[in-house]
Amino acid sequence: MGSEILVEDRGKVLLITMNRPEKLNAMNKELREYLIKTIRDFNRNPEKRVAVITGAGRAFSVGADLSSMSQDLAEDLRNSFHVIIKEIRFSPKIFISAVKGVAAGAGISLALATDIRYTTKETRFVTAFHNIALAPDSGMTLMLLRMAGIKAEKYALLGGEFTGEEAEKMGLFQVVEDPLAEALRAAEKIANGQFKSYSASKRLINRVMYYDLEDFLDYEAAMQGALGKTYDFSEGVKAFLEKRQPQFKGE
Amino acid sequence: MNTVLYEKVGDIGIVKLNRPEKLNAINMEMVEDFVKAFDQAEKDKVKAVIVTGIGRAFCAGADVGEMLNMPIEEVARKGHAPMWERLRTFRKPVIAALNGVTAGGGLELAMACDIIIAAESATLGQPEINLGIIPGAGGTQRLTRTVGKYKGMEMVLTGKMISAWEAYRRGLVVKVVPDEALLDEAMRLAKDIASRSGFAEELAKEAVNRALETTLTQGLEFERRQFYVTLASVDGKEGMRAFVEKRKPNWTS
Repeated sequence: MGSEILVEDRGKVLLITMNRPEKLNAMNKELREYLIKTIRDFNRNPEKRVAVITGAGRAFSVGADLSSMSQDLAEDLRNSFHVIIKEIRFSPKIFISAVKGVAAGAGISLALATDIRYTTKETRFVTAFHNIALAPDSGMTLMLLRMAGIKAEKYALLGGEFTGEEAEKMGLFQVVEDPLAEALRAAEKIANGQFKSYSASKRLINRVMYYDLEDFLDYEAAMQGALGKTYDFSEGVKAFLEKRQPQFKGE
Repeated sequence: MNTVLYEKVGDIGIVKLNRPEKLNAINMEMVEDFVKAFDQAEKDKVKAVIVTGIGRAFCAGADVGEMLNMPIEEVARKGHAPMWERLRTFRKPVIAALNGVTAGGGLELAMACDIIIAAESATLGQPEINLGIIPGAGGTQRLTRTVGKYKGMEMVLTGKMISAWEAYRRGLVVKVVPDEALLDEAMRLAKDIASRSGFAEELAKEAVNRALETTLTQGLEFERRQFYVTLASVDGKEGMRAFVEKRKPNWTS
């Protein structure tokens, strides 16, 4: 496995670190593939109970790496982003995210898919998708609205930015001083406690909150696939890579 | 009998596919063991049977390695037919309890049973197309009659695996349960069936199965005759009398 994902074995707990700090842990193809493999191995390993996911350096993750997207966004979503979200969400094990610095796009979705979410007051959450003329993906719309309700609608609809403090107000994250330390503490406690009860509770939560997540993701992939073929999307990506303002046409 | 384990718990027979290292792929030995298990269940006069798998699969289908090396004449003359024939002539209700991967011949096996329940981690599909072959034991027929032409086509033409919950929404499984509750729930269902008249259960099973094989007129005709038989049966008389006398019936079968 490449250096894009670091894995630290801590007994019943596994620490997974996205490790492209120079790219703010943007998820390129390799990172996504290693993340899937790591999570699948974790899910299949009977010795492991809790996974902590974090990012190396200044960011949790800024989401998809725009320089390594395939021609077909629907394909990317169905083959990797959605696989990651489903492996986390439908796992009987507990996932904890430690988010600081910045989380953007699918990086936010990844964190929202985990069961316990820690961040700092100053962390910047940037929905990002609308900036390149896409709609939120990797389940963000469903997870955001299910968790935060109508308060989050403006981010789902128009995109935008909010802080860790605001994220806590919306009920999405818990603000702490040191997210990673807090996540590892919580992980130990869960891993050494009445784990079956926590695992069962997660699955009950899934029946209430995420019973239709699979269908939603399939629909979302089709939607994003269509947006990925628009003029505005290619203009958005071009402008982003050229570091200039995009000229959108609504087409 | 190594590749299939059989035990009798009360009046329920439990049949466990036991080639976990091969995801319970069906080979010729398993076909024989499977037939023996059901013969034993018949001898034991069980009132219902549960079929499930050991390990992380219910059954991943036919043993591809074995199939590849078998002359087509042998496959056509015998193959896995004894297994399907044994299930088809088994008169008691059979419950498939899907504990994991249920693919190809595994899904066909499940569909050849009478009721399917699934653990929430089970996945179901007919991936034969990925090997350049197609389903050969009901995967295009029973599946289509259950999920409809278009979903059936999608599954058979693309080999797509679906989740337990998706299968539930399609009416392919009647119930999805937490993985660790699968056998308990299957037992509960089996006992529910076993607590009723065995003879009536048999005739009911036969009639429901007939629905998929005839026109409505013929099916209704068949049902009416089965109904007359239950009316005249010992259990039928006892059941109706108990109902009128507001007491619990004592079944004889």
